Amino acid sequence: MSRIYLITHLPNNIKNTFHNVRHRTLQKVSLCTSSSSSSDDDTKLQKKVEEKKKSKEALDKLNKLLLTMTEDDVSSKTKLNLAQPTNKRQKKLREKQDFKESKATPTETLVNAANNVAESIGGDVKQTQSELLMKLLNVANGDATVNTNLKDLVKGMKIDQESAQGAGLSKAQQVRQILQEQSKAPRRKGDMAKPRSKSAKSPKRDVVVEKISLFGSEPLGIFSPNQNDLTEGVVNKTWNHLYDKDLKLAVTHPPSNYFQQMILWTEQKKIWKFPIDNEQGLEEEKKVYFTDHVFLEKHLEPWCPLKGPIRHFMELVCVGLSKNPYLTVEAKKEHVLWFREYFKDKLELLQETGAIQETDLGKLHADQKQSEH
Amino acid sequence: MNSLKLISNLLSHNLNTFRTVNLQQIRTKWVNRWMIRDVKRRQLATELAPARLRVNSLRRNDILPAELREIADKEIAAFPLNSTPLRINKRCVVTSRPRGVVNRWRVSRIVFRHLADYNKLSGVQRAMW
Repeated sequence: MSRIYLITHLPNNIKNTFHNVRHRTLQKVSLCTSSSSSSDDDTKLQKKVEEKKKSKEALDKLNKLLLTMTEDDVSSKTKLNLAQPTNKRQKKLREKQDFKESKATPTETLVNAANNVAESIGGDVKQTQSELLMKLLNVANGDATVNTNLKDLVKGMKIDQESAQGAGLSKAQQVRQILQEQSKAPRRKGDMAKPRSKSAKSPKRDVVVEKISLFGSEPLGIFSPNQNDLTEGVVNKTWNHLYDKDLKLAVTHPPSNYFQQMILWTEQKKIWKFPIDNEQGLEEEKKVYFTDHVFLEKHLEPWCPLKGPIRHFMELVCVGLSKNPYLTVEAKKEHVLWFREYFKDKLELLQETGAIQETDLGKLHADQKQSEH
Repeated sequence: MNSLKLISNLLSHNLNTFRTVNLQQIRTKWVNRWMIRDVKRRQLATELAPARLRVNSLRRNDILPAELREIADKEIAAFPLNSTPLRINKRCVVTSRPRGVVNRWRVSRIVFRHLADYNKLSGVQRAMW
């Protein structure tokens, strides 16, 4: 029953898709049933199972559709409708314009209104118009009886309203009513209780108070009334950071006993994990084989000359790095490559001084030429 | 606004670099300015330590040509002064006391005694023999 209710209250286009999907599933089910009657018992069972699966899939699809629709509704509602600043000057101007436009006297307006009503009713326009006006004007002239009747009517309406309210008022609303009555009633006791210190002090009569009207003249047009033009303004990074921190602390509970604290410390790696492992924290390094640490000449191959002072120097560097257990392989590689970049920049100088000679680079150059060819 | 700008111009030494001077109070958790300076020096030293090591290795050898070593000398002098590890001083971490610092715990002797008495230092006991 509930499903049918849901379908009827959907918008039309979605309803159509819904019906289409359902129709399709029903068609599929009907096809399966028709085919099964002609085949054997084993195949019949299989097809029944298939039917069930398909119907389940269809139901799942329908449910998903509904969920997506509800999600969309929620997202559209959460748009912020912030309060826009009221433009009082514009309002006043509009009111003035409306007043100017409606220069017609009240009688003229009545006549026009009666004419419109008569036209809408149809028939003899002038007669209806005249009858309406007679009734209206008679009321305006004022018979005592008519007035009293109206008054009674109005009173009666008021009573009805109150009774209706009294029946459906909740406790909160009753309390609110009482508070409103209290606020409206004149506070005599309160006034007396206040010490009249202002009367004791002599008012400053020497000071001339200039009345400043904020909205007297035209605006300068510095600020735009559009909300889209407003930017975020000053961003308090520290405040935001501390606020987030506060939120996290509010949500996370501190450890209730020492066991929980020990668990926290172990996870933070402040405490050894049992059974004690001397290489705790060096899991990444275990994966790297020792040859990568020790044999670093491979990083020298492409660029370093085979003889000469630079080769000598770089080999010493490699020896030193191979004996270093504290650096990772990446750090060592970076170290060697830094030297490559440095010597590249200083190539001209090195050639002048004689550090790099053609004979040293000979084999390297030959290899490169061979690869080019 | 103009007066503020004038003051800031006076304070900033280089007129070419249009740096804005912060005239607001700076609040930190560090004890005093020497501690702040020490922290800055340590940070800079850790950042530039590998580069300094590499340039220094070029200087400290007799294999490479002398011209290269001279260039390396100039390069290392071009590093910011606060990147030298020699400028770091071991102050007390809690009170920023420059003298009487127990190195293993990085605290001054007074703080060390206080913590030891309250059993906050693992394996530290009052000596008695």
